[in-house]
Amino acid sequence: MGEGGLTMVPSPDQKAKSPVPRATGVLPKTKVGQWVTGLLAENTVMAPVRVDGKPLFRELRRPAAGQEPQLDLESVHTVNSPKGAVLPQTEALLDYKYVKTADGGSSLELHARTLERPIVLFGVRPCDAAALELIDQVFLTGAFIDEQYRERRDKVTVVAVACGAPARSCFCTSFGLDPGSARGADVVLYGRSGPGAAAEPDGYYAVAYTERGEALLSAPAAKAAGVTDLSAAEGAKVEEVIAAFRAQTTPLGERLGKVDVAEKLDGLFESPYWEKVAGRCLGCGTCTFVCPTCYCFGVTDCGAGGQGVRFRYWDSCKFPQFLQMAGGHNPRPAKKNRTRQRFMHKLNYYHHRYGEYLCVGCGRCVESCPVGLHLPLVAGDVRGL
Amino acid sequence: MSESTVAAATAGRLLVPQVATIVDIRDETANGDTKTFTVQMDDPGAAFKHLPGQCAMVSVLGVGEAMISITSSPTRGWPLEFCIKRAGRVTGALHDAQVGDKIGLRGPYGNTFPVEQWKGKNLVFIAGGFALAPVRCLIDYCLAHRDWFGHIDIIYGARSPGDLCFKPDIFERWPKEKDTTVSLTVDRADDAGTWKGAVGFVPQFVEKLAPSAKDAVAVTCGPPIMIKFVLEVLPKLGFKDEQIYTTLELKMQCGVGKCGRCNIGKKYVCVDGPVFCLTEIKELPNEF
Repeated sequence: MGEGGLTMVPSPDQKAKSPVPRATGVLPKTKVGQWVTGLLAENTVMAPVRVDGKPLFRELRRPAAGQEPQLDLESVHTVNSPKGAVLPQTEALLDYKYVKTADGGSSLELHARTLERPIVLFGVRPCDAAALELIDQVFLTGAFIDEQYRERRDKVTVVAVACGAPARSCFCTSFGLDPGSARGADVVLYGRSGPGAAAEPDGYYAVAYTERGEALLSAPAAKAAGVTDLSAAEGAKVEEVIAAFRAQTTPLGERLGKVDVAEKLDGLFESPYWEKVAGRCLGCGTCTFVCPTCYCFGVTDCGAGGQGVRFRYWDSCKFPQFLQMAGGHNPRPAKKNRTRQRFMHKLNYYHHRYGEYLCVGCGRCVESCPVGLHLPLVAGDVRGL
Repeated sequence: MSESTVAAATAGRLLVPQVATIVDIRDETANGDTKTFTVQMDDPGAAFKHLPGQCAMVSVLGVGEAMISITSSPTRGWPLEFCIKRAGRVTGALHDAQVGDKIGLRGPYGNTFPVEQWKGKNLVFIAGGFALAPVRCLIDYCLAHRDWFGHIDIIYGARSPGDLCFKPDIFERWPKEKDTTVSLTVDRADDAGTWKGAVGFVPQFVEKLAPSAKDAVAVTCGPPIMIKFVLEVLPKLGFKDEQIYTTLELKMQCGVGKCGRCNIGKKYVCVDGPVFCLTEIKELPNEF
């Protein structure tokens, strides 16, 4: 194994809850920039980079000749999540144009848009990769399939990087994930020296979990960058390394424990807890924007002179206008209603519809909420009610 | 990533409407705040089939989109009719539109009244104001299948005689139907004294008329305050929760259960509604 091509692991069970590795390569640390540069030739690449000292998940610009993009694969959290790749913060749905006709009337032309370039999400954390699948369930299941979402989603390849040093605010383990989870990822990069270090001095095992991931590893961009085959001697070590990544706990997750409050919340809609906990919410909506699983959107038109664009945009259930109706009625007029809506959606409503929670424990709400009103706090409180 | 997008066909795009034309506009009320728009699909192949209770997203491009109940019965085919009260931006733009103007239309959305389950029953329709719109679709559908049902009671009221919608239906067409009673009331009679009918609020009117609950189904649509009191009157007349249906309405953006807006607890009004039996409504949290 490992001589004629990538190491093949037999019998991938597509239905298994945990994806099974299909192929593994070795990526030297010094070659990451080169691989990404190669990917940029044919793909839009989005990856974690430092901007003014802040880790952000951004679309990469093509570097000047002889240079390579500087990725930040050390920071655990980017401030924003990569969800914008599948659900852009603003996304055109159609172009419209009213055209005057000869008889004095007007006609209306509508054009949808389509995405040409494939997208590679490089350096996604396992929690964020899993979050993409939670959003997929909304747009790609049920009586209506969102074709525009599907077209975009089908063009997205996810290269995740396993967490070797989960942050203080991490709690993926409370929601059935772990720092080495491959859910939602096509390829996962595992530090060759195992977990424990934020930096990966020895580079990565690049493990493909899907056909698409396998193709990415065997594509010329990967080969040219020095993604090499796994030696037979090292082959046995990969499983150990993956297992070590997956066995890690997360600091906040350890304190919070497994979260399973859906059933309990069925009876807590009228609890005075919501009024109490909502008191300090500022209604800023930060939690919903940084959250990798918050997908609620609005639709609006922007144009002038009879032509323009209809687009969808990230909206927030934390905003008073979210459900404000034209006639003046607002079913969720108070912070209590809106705070309850967000946490019930994540911990109860979504669970009723899709059988799991709408949270991956990334910890961004913990990091970003200006008043500390975050999901693990509420999940813990609810357990005690 | 805008540089990488190109124009594509609109077919199959969930949130992209079809182009339709307003072919008729009819004033419903004396004060002009409610109009019925007759709409024809430009591409006959895109003309969808709906069922009573279902809605469609109506667009004025450049202004926005709103979910509107389809007020014409499926048995009458296309063009479709939408009865719309001027309320906000989209409905305002529609009211400013003229015959021949182009709009966007997509649908049909939402569940339907379970008409098949009502075969053999007496029907009691209770509506207030322009909320007769969704019920009108259902009434005409039931009248087109007249043999399926026993007696049909239509109880309808509005603030004033001028606010009564669908006047040709309520005054002429429906009263002539076999075994069908139309009872009308207004909150206040007009000053001219031409109104000879009943005066009073719909809930009290229903209580006075006292339609029998035996083998009956009641459907009520109207302003929230009317629904609230009608739902107090019906049990007094012997109606059980499972005999009572209504429709709910919340702000919507997608209409297809994706945008995360119109939920009441775990139910989305756009896909799980708008039609709800009172037994279901009593299971919903009180947030609508």
